[in-house]
Amino acid sequence: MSLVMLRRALDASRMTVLSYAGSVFFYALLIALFFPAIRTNSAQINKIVHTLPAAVIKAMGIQNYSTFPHFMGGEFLNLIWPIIAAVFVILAGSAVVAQEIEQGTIDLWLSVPVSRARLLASKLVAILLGLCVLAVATDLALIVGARLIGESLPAGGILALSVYLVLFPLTIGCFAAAISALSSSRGHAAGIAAAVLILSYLIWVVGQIGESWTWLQHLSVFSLFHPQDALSDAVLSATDVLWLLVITGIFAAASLIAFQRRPTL
Amino acid sequence: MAAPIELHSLTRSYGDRRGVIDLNLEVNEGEIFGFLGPNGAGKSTTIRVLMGLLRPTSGMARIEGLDCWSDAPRVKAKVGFLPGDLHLYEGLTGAAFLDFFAGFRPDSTRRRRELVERLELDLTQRVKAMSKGNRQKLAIVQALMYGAPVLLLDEPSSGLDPLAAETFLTLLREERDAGRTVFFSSHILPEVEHIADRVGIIRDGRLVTVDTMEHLRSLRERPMQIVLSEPVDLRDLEQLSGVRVRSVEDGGKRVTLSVRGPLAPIFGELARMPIADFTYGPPDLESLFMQYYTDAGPKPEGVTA
Repeated sequence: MSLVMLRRALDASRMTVLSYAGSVFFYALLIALFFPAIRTNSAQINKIVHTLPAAVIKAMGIQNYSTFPHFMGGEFLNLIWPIIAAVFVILAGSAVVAQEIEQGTIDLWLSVPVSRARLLASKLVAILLGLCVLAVATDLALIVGARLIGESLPAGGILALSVYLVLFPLTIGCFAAAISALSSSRGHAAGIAAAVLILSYLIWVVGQIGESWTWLQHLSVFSLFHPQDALSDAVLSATDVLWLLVITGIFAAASLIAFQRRPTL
Repeated sequence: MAAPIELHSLTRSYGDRRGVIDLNLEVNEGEIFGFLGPNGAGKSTTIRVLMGLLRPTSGMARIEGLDCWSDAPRVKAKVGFLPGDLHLYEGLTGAAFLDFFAGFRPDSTRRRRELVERLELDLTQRVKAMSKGNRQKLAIVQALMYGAPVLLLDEPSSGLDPLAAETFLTLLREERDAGRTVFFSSHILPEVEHIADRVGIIRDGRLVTVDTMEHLRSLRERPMQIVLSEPVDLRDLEQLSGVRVRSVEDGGKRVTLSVRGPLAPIFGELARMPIADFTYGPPDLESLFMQYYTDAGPKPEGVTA
């Protein structure tokens, strides 16, 4: 990694990261402030929710509106948060190489006396740090929100949640970066990464429909994302973390190797 | 000791598209080498291979004995580079742009300040607000500020006003006098004539020749256009050594010649003609190619004399 490149990448993404983090913070806080009204009527809401198909309830994570962590999981962490984070990392990941080519800055960027792999690794670290900022903004919103409505959250839950909030989108970002390392168009790289992510989500949803489809879940990265359980039970699945690390590592290594060996830019 | 720049049987193709074919070349230390050729001839491809941006299809490119592909980071530490198709980071100020690139190398503050002053560049402006000429100046400062032993410059004077272009050429001479090796591409013959010690001419991806400036000057032609008030017999003019009639238009009233060698006999002939207008142009690349293809060897594919 190159510290000069990391500083430049952080500087270039600063405004984007801060605007995403600010949006996440205020959106999460807003949702949290709805909880007192939901809590009062949770029995009725739970009853209505359970008229929905079981697969939908499971996919959305809306089994229980009685507790704050479950409410935040169903209304924010299970779907809205991954969408926001996915947009952020897909745009950031797809830009790492392809945008330099598209903007015509690739020759200058690669004229510095540092290997391509180190330059790219610096950009990946900048994405990781950007995700850490997003995760902290989310944690802060949950803590402040809980405080404002008289709820409490276990510290272990916040920590376990943070691990998911960083690792899960990092996997997606590294996948987008691997596509970017092979592509000359940021749009193509982002499109492919988004298409694969949506397919992965659909596979995961279909895997919830019935017993015979359960195996499909294991093909989707969404089967490794359990923010609701992490927040409510302060549980961090070692299997999830290990798999996310392995997949992220594979995509990151693939992007570095592909870029290092790419013969034409 | 290895030459600062070496190309051995270098070929770089882009699938069906031609890049460069079987280039063999050595550039000496303390030399300004002009790499001359029309647009699309393979100049930028050669420079991009030397910078480790493209992997050779076959053959080898070396800078100071280091392989440009497998040793790319070490090669780049020895090179000041100015890309041909110049695109800079638009959101940065000139100062931030230079700071970023300077961060990868030893301190170059003093040289940078000197270059900025001589090229009269305002570093507080954002790149996106800069004119094309100022962007080019910024990229030139970036390439020259490290005091790198080898300079690879792709069409470096593009977009510069005449005053800045003259300052830039002076800077290149100073780099040479300090023992640095300059390899620069251009499609403008007078510019290369002005500054280069030796010239390589590339066309259709092949190196046509490598020659000294003196020999090149003796070969190149300059276009002379004559507008006559009435058509005349051109036979006496055609018989003069170094004169070639390129075209006769407008019923014989508009004549274009290619001229090389002494001018006195030509002016003697012209004095007898009813000349209404007269233009003597700078030497052009095409006429030089014609000289090489007709005088110095077989014509490459697709070239007509």
